[in-house]
Amino acid sequence: MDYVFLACALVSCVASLMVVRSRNPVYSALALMLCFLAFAVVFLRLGAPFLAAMHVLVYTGAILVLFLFVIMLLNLKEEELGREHPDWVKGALALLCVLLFGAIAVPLAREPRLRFRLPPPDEGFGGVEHVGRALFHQYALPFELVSVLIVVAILGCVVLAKRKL
Amino acid sequence: MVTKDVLYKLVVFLATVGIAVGLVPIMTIVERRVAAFIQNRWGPNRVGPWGLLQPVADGIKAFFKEEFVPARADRLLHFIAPMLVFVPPAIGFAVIPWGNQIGSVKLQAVNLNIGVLFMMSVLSIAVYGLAIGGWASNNKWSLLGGLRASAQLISYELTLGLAILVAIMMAESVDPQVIVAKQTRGILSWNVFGGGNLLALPCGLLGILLLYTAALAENNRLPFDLPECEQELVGGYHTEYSSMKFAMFFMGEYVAMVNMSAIVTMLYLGGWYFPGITNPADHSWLGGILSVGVFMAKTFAILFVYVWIRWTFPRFKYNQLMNLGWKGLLPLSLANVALLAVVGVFTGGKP
Repeated sequence: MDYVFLACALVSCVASLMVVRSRNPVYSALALMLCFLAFAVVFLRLGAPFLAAMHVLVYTGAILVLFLFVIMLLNLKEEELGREHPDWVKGALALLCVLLFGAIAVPLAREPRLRFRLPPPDEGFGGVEHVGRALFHQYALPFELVSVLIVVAILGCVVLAKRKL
Repeated sequence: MVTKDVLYKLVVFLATVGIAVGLVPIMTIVERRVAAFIQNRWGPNRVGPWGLLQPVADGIKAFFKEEFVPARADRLLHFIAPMLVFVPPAIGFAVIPWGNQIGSVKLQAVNLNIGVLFMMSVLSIAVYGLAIGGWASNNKWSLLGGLRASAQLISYELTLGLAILVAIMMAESVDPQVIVAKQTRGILSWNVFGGGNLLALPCGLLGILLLYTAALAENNRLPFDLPECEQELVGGYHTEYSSMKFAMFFMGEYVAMVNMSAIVTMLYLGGWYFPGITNPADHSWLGGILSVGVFMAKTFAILFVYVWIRWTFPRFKYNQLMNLGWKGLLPLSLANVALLAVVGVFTGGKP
């Protein structure tokens, strides 16, 4: 058994529940941070150190800070947070989610064609050189197209935010 | 022999923590004495010989102060925030090689092949402490201080990252050991002088300038100490903090300063290498201790510049800070990276 993975899975599951369960959005954001950190450790265990570092750097260090920034700037009061659904609705929805997950996960776990072992990865797999080579040689065109997409998204945001240019 | 290796590792690890945290009280006394010297007064000189025990007195005083939490504050987050400021920079120190190796033991707590990325990602977490501390105090001005801090840190993290990228491009690696090893071929092989390529010299000089400016802003040091401001914000994100928790915010700031200085030393100034004093092939005790001494001397020189700048420059206004960060430093650092890439391609470096 991979105990590190189990611990990280447990932390990320509990943190994810806290994200949706906590009444206060600041606590939600902090639980999401915990969740991201657990993901990063899982990435490390899977032999993707570059992805792990970037996950923390970009998601935890930048994007989530912006979430927190906006939440703190709004600084919602208790009455502005709105009413919650009654408990039986929440319980029913949770049950539905568990059933849906089971309906997908159980057949997948029983599928014999999915029981194979991957060959061991190449030397340096998941390191900076490996990822860089893949991004800039093998997948250079999609990579550049994604950057165009991001520029378009930024321009869209600017146009939406500044109606009068 | 496994136990012996583990023992060595433990000693190196404890020494790393000792350096990261132990430099903090030294820095506080250095800061106050240098400030006094610049302002032509004495500074703290009563406690112990030449006032050297002043940090101990400060610590004892902080411990005995009343611990106060505002009534409507969020107690849990109010408690966690100072730790979030203090711990990440201390962890970031783990990947910094603070000396050459002695025997087969490398003087670095953890040797990661993605060391620089690890350091950057750990440092990017420290911003949570400031933001959460400001929010959890349930005080408008503290909140504004926390917001200012997070906006400032996010803005300057881009410049910081691009300036670090320049050093990574010169070393062609993100492994701290490799980055330092490539700078041990004479003083001109330091990344600040272009990493052995004289055409890249302007990139190196601009790179360290940008890195240092961004580091000042990241550490909330003058001239960028906008998150704390008596006139506009009463104090800042730490207004509602007292006793040791308040002291912890300050210790966190100093640990971050020490850490940042070590990063500058490692990335641009050749780490523990100085021509004529340390020899990369010398793995004896004397050579190891000399290399630690060289590293400490460089780190202290950079820390001294922090203090020097603090008592020399006037501070910015917040809009000037944002203008400088986004319209000045960011395009400049992008241009620097592009220039280095062009130089690298034309001088036969790996593209």
